[in-house]
Amino acid sequence: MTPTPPIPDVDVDTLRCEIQNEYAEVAAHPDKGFHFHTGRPLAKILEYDEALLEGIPEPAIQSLAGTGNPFNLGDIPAGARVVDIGSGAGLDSLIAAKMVGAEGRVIGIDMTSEMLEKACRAAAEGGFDQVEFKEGYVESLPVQDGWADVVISNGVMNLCPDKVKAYKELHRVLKPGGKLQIADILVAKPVPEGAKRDIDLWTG
Amino acid sequence: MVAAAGLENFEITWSKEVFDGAPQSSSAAAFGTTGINFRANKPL
Repeated sequence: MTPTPPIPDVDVDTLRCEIQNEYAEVAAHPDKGFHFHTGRPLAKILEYDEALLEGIPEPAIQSLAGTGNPFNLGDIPAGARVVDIGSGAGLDSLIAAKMVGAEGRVIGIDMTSEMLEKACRAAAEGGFDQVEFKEGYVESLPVQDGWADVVISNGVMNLCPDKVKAYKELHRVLKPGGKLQIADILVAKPVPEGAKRDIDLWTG
Repeated sequence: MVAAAGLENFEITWSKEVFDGAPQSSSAAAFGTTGINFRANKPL
């Protein structure tokens, strides 16, 4: 078994604050220019099928800031219950809502209030009654045990210092046999311990 | 980490250099960072 890497020595509250500041900017000014791509150009890079974006209010698309595409791992069945970890402006939650239909449920969870407000407005504008957005952290999700058929996430798990704790929380909310469909990053080169403590590198 | 959390059948299905050409310079290239998609599941 591969040994579990040590938890980086960073102040979690400071890290969360820096991440919230960054993504509040992505919510308010998605075209400002970040160290990552955003919006429709990013959706194209990440190979989102155009059909997935149909019917999604534009503000939810504009603030996309993910690193992959959870839906390339397979469609989500009608009637399923889905949790979207770090739902941002709501694009992936709303795509999931289209897939699960009126009989399914989607809970999007994010820690950045500006993103939550934007996602809620998009869901209301698009008439997605099967979606709700909640404030929360990956390590303590506001979801009951064994609720979800599928957990999706896009570019968020890498921002959690204690990754085993975070994945245990995803395990908790999944039903037995439930699926993870996750987009994240892979770092090919060793990251020095000093760099892991540099919060600027976590967000840039 | 995924397996340590009790999840199984971890599989990376896609990888791409998603930070190339971003408006601001990034530390991504220095560490060989790519975007990935992966799946896993909770055991029955």
